[in-house]
Amino acid sequence: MFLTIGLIGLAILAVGCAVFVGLAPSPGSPEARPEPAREPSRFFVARAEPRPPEDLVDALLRDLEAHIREEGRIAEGFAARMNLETLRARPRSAWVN
Amino acid sequence: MADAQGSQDSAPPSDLFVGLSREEREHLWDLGRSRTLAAGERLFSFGEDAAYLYVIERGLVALALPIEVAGETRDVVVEEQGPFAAIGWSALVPPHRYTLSAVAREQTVARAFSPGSLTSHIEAHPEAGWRVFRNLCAIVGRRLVKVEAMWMREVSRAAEARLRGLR
Repeated sequence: MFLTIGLIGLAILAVGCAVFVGLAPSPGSPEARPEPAREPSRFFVARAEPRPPEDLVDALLRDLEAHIREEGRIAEGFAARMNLETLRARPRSAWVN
Repeated sequence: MADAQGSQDSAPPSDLFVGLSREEREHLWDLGRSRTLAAGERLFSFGEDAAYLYVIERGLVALALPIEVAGETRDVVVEEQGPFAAIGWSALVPPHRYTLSAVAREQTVARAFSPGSLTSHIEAHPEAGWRVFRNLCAIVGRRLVKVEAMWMREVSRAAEARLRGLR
């Protein structure tokens, strides 16, 4: 009698545990993922991406500064003459070529 | 600086002082206070309240814009200014926030003028004040035309690249 009641109790407990575990989302399932923000932050997204090596960024910025210097020189030539021809000069920088 | 008579002129020949008499220049110059910066020292930052207009006495100042690259903001130098250039003119122009950052490239001396003292002087001496503001307009206008020209070139390149993509 007690053995039967015990076995029935264990069976109910086992079924309860199985249902509970079955309802919980597995770590990889879509339900387990946090809901994405509706308007994700530009800065957050950028930081989440793999970062390029620091020296690559430094080299890129050096190129950019050289390009801006040259563009500035051409623009000053334009400002001095106000002649559209001066704006047609092709930059020597690798940034746009 | 020596004039034609050989006497010393304490005020440098800044673009801001064009057309002013020596006396007017010296009056204005005396309103400022010289500040010495070590190489790499920051004079002001993009976006902060423009507390002073500066005239560079000696040295070299890099003017930079904040550019976002790879998720972080970096200062990219867009211009360098040397002796007698007036920088930080946002101090006299609403909304009184610096539109660039300024960092000394080498040891630099800059004369700092508070907008309050300049404005009081200009109100008390309207003729000199008119010349100062005309000069200020020329400095701002030069920057505007330069940026306009650079922007025209960028837009032209973008349009040509788009056209190539459509062909």
